[in-house]
Amino acid sequence: MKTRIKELRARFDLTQSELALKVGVRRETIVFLEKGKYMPSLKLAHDVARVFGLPIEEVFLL
Amino acid sequence: MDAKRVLPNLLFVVGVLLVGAGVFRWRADGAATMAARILLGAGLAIVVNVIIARRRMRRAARGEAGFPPEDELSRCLKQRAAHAAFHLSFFWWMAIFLFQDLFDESETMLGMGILGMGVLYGISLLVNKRRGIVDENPY
Repeated sequence: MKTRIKELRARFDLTQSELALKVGVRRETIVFLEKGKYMPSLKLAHDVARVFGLPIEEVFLL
Repeated sequence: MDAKRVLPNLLFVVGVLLVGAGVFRWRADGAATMAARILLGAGLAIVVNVIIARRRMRRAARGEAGFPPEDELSRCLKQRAAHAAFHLSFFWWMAIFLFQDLFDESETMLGMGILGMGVLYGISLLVNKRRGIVDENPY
């Protein structure tokens, strides 16, 4: 699964740790998401998308 | 390097040196003498305890920073690793029973079986971490 998390993080000037803290996961999870090595739960996808103020489908690309 | 890191590192080096001395003594004596056993046991105990203490310190630091000790990814990785290791351990035990003549004592055979199960879990955890979780299957 491809994501735009890295691009959006840069735009919002967020580090991986800061994003992880905002959504309540470990930094490793954000690393996995950015590499496309983890398909997140709906709740996590929703939380990440909410941080960026975008709908889920604009952050996570199938 | 701050004081919190110096002591564990120093203890780790001491532990490794003790293990090395124990192995050297074992080889020099040609058998597992009491001195070799004490050196090996003390060295291994120190090394293992330093590793555990380091992990706990890292976990505590992460907790203080606000990170959860476990999240959905780490739980999923553990579940998948345990699932794979459980199935692989059947083959491991089968191999051990097939080659039971190679072991002098049954305790050694059982120890190898239990140790192998731990190693299989570690390997499957590493494989799962490298491969990632890219499907929706629970295992």
